[in-house]
Amino acid sequence: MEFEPKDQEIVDLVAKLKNTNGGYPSELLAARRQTYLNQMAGMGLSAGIGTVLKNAAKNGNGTSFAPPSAGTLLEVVLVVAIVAEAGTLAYFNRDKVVEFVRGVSTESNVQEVTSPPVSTFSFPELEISGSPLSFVSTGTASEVPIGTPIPGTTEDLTVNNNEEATPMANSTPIPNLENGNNNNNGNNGNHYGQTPKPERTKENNNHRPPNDEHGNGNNDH
Amino acid sequence: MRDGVALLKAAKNLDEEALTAIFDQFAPAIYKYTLRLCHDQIVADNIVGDVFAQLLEQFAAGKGPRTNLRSYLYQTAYHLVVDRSRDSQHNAPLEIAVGTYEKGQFSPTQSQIEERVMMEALISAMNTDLTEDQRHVIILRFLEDFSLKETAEIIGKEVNNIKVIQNRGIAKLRKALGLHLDDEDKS
Repeated sequence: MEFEPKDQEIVDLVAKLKNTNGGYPSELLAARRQTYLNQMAGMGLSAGIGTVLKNAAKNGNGTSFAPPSAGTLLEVVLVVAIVAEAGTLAYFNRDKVVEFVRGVSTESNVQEVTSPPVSTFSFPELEISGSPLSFVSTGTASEVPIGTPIPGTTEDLTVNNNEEATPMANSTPIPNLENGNNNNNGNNGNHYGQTPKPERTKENNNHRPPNDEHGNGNNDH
Repeated sequence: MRDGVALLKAAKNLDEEALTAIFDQFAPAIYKYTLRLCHDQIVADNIVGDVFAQLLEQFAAGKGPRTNLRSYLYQTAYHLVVDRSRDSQHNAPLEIAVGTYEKGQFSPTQSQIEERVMMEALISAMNTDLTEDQRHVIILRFLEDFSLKETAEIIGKEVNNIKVIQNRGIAKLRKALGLHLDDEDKS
């Protein structure tokens, strides 16, 4: 017994309520049944497809419901269908495809033109020192600015550079004055203090020096 | 008519005839059980629809009951009723149940009147004095004739727990009916 005997009366009384409450109203029951049948019909289609796929998955070799060649044939048909669909889509959207390809190619050209040159070289900072032929390099590079070579002095500067590791800047070439010839090698720059004194070629009595005007007794005649 | 196991097996294979037979066999009982709990015909009808829709979904997914289809349907209905009662504390007036009990009694005798008074008191006690769990257990055990084990499965509790709930519910009903009888005797 799952309850005490003294509770039997209460249990009998409760059991009499079984017949209480009316049954399912016929109109409600009919509508609910129709709804249920519709759900069942809708589910049947998807369930049928699901069952077929399930069986196909279970029997991978296809021996139970189709011959082996059917599987290969199905694969071929699927591939052809996919290719045909892709081709159709590409044909109908060919304008967009061409535009896209052009856009991609144009974009790459612009990148080539506008890309700035990348240089890792760092130029040395120059500081002007008292000596015109020397400078102090504070950068990391040890390059020596190369100017126009000075005749006669280039070797000395080069040796000095190699031995003392002091970079020397080559100056403007000095004109060759050994023969009294103003040979500047075509360099027409300023050469202060280097211009040779003009030589007096003939005596001119008409041109007296300024101190002769005072009659200091200097007779050049 | 197929037996329960064959019917369940056919239904799991989505046999339309079996699924229809299940609805015809259990829908009225589920409706009655639900109406006892929620006291609303429309709500009870909707819950019946939900119960069988879930059953179809479970079968389609390859799930669903394995052995006891009846317990499974009542369990689904129970959870739906509990969910709805949580959403809206809906209690239909007692007259619905009493009125349906009075159906078909045109010329009641004295004993029938006494029994009617007793039943009104019982329904009132079940609706007001019992807790939610006690009401579910009493209905499943003595109105739907489920065993302790089946009731435990439907509600989701241990069998011993169901026993305790049942005994406490019966004690409350006895007390309520006894008080009622005492008042009747006094008057």
